[in-house]
Amino acid sequence: MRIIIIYFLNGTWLKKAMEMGSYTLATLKRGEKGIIKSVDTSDPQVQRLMVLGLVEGAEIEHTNSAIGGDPIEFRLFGSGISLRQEHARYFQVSPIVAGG
Amino acid sequence: MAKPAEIRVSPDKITVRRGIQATVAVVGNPNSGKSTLFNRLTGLKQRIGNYPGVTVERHVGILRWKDTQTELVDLPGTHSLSPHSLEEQIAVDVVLGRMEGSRRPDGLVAVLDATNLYQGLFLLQQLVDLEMPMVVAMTMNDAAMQGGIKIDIEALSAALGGVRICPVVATSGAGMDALREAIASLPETGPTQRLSVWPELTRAAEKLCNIAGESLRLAESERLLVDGITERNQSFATGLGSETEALLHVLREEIFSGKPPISVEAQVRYDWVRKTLASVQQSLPPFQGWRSRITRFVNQPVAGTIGLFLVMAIVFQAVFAWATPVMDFIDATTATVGASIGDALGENAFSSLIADGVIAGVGSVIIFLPQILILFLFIILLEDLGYLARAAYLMDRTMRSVGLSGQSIIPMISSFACAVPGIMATRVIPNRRDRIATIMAAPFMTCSARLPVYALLIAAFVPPHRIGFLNLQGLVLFGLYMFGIVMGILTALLMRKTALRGPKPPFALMLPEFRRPNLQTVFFQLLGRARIFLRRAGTVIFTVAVVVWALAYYPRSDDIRPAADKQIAIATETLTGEALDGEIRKINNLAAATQLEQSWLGRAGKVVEPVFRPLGWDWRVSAAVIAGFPAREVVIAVLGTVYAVGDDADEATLSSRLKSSSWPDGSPVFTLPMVIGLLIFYACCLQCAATLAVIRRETNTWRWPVFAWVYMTTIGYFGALLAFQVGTG
Repeated sequence: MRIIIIYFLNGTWLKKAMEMGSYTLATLKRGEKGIIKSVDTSDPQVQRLMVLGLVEGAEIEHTNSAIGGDPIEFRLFGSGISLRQEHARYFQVSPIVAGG
Repeated sequence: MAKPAEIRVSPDKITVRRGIQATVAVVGNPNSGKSTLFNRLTGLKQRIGNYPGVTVERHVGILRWKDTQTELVDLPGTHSLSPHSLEEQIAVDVVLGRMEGSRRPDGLVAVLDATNLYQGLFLLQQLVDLEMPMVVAMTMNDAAMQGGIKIDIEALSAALGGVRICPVVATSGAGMDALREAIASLPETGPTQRLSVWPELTRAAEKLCNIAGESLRLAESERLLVDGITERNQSFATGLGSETEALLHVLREEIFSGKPPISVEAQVRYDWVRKTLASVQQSLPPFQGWRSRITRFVNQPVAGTIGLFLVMAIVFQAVFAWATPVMDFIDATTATVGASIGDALGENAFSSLIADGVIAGVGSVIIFLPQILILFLFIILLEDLGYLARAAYLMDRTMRSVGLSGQSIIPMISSFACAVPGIMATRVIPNRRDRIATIMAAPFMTCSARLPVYALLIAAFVPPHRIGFLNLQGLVLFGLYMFGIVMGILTALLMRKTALRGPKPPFALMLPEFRRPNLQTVFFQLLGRARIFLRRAGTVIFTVAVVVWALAYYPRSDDIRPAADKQIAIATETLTGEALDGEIRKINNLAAATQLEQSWLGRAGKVVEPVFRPLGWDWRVSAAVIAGFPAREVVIAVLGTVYAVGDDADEATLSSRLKSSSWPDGSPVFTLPMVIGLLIFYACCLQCAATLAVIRRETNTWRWPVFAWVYMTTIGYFGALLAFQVGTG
């Protein structure tokens, strides 16, 4: 839903939303794709997740979630990986709008 | 345990041109098909041991190719050379040659999953930079093809500095001979060419090497820069000298400028991986096979969870029900063999030792095998299928609310059948604290051995009142199951808040696509489980069984048997037929009861009676409870002997005898509060030598089994005390 709204608004709103940091892996909706823009590495657990390939520039898709929306399953370079909500928040993403 | 190669080569093998001339480590990401490949390469010629001081298994096998023999070591999976779990650390230590008791491998087989080059190439870069002889075994090529992934192997090899890549299909065996050839010729292969995708790190590492001198290799220096001097690499870092250490700190500050080193490394290396992937891998639209369709279906939140409950119900049913006929058969066979040997040897101490001690002891070990084998067949199949990670993912939120993680679900459910396989199944939990919390909670689950005791006591003493459409007896049984669950959860929570306090592990599970399980791997792993149980836990269980036999057998009284024989002789004169048989049985049962009363066990029952008096137990109940500590299921047989109805008495006879049992003043022993207390005691108490032996085996210390025993017994005692005192008072 959000994606559709954003699609019809122009790009400035999207840029603003990104700058405000409102887009993280946790806010990505099912079926949405994004590119990791920055990682908050203050948490040592997040550093371990980077070793699994969740780094800046990686393209990632929210494919599914367990009941209650936590943990979330992502697709990262063809492989499934699941993260808890609490950890997903550390990854800022810029959404890839379908078709663009 | 580290130098089997030299010891094992027998003199006749020296004439062979080359014996075991190289040790090669098999290293790769978790779930990269490493174990399947290892089994394919070594076949039956493998041994399973433990790394010194830890519970991580060491799999070693021999690869024979033409006239060479290569020793292969299957390492635990790892994502990086900066370890974060015990398993990863072992893998890294072996590869770097700093594992106590193992020498540095002569070469590496790097296992690369073709469907997951992204993570695979991250580790591979680090491995290539070690400058060791190496061959890459690329697995899952069939799955990659179906997923629309096309890999340019020559380009990939070139990107990795020319290292040899052997694509294999481990399930069908395609490409295996080329791989075998490559492994066998590793000693003649030169070291890999460094990629040095991170020039800053390499330059700093060179500086460090110049100061440290010969002892520090370049790759080690690089790892030291990334990891710093930690608890884990201390042995490796000592002897560097203060000058080198000072330089290390300066260089680390220079490269990382305050940022976390492993995240910087991840960023640099994955940037390289992404660039490389673009030139060596082509992604075509994936083929929509049954795998992706099933995967998509079971990933839906609701459907997936329902599916998980179905799977667990089947597993539970299998462990609970399918194992029962086999267990009954083992039980009956043990009894028959024991009895016939007992008859053949006559009535003496040796015969009793063999029949009631040794054979019953062996029986009490192998009786666990059906449940263990069935449970592990399912677990291994589900793991190979790629479902286990998914189950953990689906249950994570629920299990987290009780202080555990998703991976605890299978061990917990299995423990309802038997805690022994349940505790063995905790291996799937990577985090040590979660794992031990699960092990501590598992024995509270109502196992199948508690059921007969529950059934006997409930049938005898709980009135079958109807409450609405429910039956009070059924309600009590249900209550006992719930009681076990609640106690287990409270224990896990308590442990995670106290002794096992610590950060929650990052829950990042790789969720593989479904793949067809490899039956050979399943078989080998199943065999390994059974072997470990028999060897490590079996010896303890057997010893305890023999000790308990001795306690119940000694000291012999010289008067009991002759007295009983005299009575039988008198009975023979006055009675015939069935009446005689019944009388003889009665006399024998009474003699057995008298013997037990004055055995060490009976005396122990009397000695501890004051302790259990506040619980409303007399010496008979106390003796039966003590006898039940090695294995709670024997309590019925002991009660049968103590109450002189024979150790194979049916439930009705025994329960009527229990009902009429009374204190010297004539008041009944088995009152409702006392029975409720006894049930609570059974629900809590860790009366199972097998469980203790398995906890010892799985935690690799006696501390945890001792703690579990004391903890559970204390709770059981005070629970029973509370029930009796409140109920009676």
